[in-house]
Amino acid sequence: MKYHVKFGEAPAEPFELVELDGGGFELRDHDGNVCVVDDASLPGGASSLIVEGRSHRIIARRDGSDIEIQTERDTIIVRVETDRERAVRRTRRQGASEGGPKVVTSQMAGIVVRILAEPGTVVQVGEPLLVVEAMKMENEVRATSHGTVKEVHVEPKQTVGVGEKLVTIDASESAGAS
Amino acid sequence: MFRKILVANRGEIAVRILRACRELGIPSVAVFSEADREALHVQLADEAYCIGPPSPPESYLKIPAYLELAERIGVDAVHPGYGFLAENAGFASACEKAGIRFIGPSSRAIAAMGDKLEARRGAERLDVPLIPGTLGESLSAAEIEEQAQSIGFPVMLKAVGGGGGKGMRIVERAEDVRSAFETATSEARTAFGNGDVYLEKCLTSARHVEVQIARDSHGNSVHFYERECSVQRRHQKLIEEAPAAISKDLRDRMTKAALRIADGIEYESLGTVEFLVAGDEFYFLEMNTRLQVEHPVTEMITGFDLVKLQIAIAAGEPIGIEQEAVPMRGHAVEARICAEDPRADFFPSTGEVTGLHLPGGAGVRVDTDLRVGYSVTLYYDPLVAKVIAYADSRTAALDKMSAALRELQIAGIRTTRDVLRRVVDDGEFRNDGYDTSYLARFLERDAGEPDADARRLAAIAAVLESHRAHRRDGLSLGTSKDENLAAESAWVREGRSRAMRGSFGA
Repeated sequence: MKYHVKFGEAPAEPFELVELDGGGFELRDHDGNVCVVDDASLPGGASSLIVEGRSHRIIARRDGSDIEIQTERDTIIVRVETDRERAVRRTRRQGASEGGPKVVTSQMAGIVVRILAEPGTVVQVGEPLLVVEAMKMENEVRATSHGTVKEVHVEPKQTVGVGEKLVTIDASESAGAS
Repeated sequence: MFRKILVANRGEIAVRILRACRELGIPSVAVFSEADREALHVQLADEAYCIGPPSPPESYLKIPAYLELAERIGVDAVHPGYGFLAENAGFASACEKAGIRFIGPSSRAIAAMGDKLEARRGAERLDVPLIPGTLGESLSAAEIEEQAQSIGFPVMLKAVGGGGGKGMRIVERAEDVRSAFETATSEARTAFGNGDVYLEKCLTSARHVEVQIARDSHGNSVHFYERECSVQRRHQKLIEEAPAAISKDLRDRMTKAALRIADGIEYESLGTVEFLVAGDEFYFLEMNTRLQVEHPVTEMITGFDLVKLQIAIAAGEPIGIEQEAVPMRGHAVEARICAEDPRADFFPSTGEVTGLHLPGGAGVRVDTDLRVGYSVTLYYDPLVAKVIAYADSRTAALDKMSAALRELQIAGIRTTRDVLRRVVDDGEFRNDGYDTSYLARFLERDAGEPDADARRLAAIAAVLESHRAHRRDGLSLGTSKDENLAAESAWVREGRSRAMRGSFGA
């Protein structure tokens, strides 16, 4: 079974996984390196991995199409796709353009305190757009791209959830702004 | 001693206080909001009562609800913990009037120290050095602007009504004073119900060192040395240590100044006097009239149980400890594990804890109410666990902390675990002498990028997780359908039987 592994924007690396007869797996990377992995799955998304004799404690958590892997030291986001999933995504992506409207979504649930950028404002990356209060602290939500604020989807005192649309920035109208 | 203590709090601190009650053999009462029915503090108390909906103003902050409950079930003392009503003079005074002992100082002392301006004036009277700044009431934006100019930038805007980083802003330039004033005022109004702010010169290269004191109703006072709390992000402490790397002479002067304040205001309880230390000088910041989040590091190096002491003082007992009998042994560190995502600018991370493993072993203490199934919501403080490490030297304590943070596993939410571990392992942090500007500098250079080995491990783990998910979803994996089903049900069976066993690997 073939899986494509991606870290951020880096090119995908293929891994070939074979289930071994006596339990465990064999994984082969694109350079032909092979390792044997024994995997004991524990409750709560945790597992104990023994990779070529080395013991690792892992927590895996799905976050949309990403998998978040927590090791003892790091939390690493990995995207894994099968051949089929990869093909489906590539088809979907055709026709999607660069630039154009970019939506800034809320990374936390909270209450909108103030709007700092009204429609029509030209903003740079990192410029504050609005203030959301959560756990009694006020947090500035910043622009993730250059452009003109096209629409503000929320109002002060409104409760917002994770992933909720806050502001749409039209990136195409300020191509030279950076 | 008390007949029955009500703990007017939740989370790890309610658990900490309830443990002290259990040790002292004092019957205890927990309160809980509708969101906290399953919380650990409810289980550790002798009695437990729901006091309202999840939102704090409707439950944990509702003073009349406590008073009614206390009267109804015969409570004679209330412990407020930290946060919520711990520094609310109105609550302390309402308890006093109802004949219930508030386990903390008098409402008068809380009010005196809670008004940060009055506290500054008090400290000045007692010959405790102050940071240059304003001492006037209800300053307008224009007055603040003018004062800022004369004191010189950078300056710090602070809420008169309280601390904890709320309503606090550093201002670097004159043109930013007004917007900072507005944010600080609005935040202070929300957090403390008082929008007034005052101004202090911002000492850019200073350390935050605080002295733990206790004073009883018989006039005996004692200090428990200091804590170093300079690892802060937006004025929120992340890592604390005891003792601080200060000279004996400075320690002497600071502890004396702290006791001067305690005696000067006839304080009766546990308290913490916060100072800024710059070079060999120290300046009064404020006094916290409550139990501190970071009290465990002091307990570790002195061997005293501060919560039990606080309860005893409230019951009118003498401290019964001579200053010379307070030892300072070894070194302790505390790391605050918060449900925040360091990669998303420390935004709160909500969700359900699906798996948990807490570190242990000699010298490791974990104060937490986390458990599998725990739901982190936006209603309450993001602090979910405190990991405390104690050893004979600072280096050994930091090594122990590093190992403990690697051992800690919390599944289901994002936490500050990894960034705290990187701080503890950081060369600059380890080489002492760091100040309050350290963490921002560290975060700037801390890429948090895993190395090649970590990425390879993550790739392997993610492939296996995907493979498991595909099996669970019953997708064709090139094996025959029957084999596939058989394999799947075996996985499911295994998963179920393991889920029944509880936490990871235990």
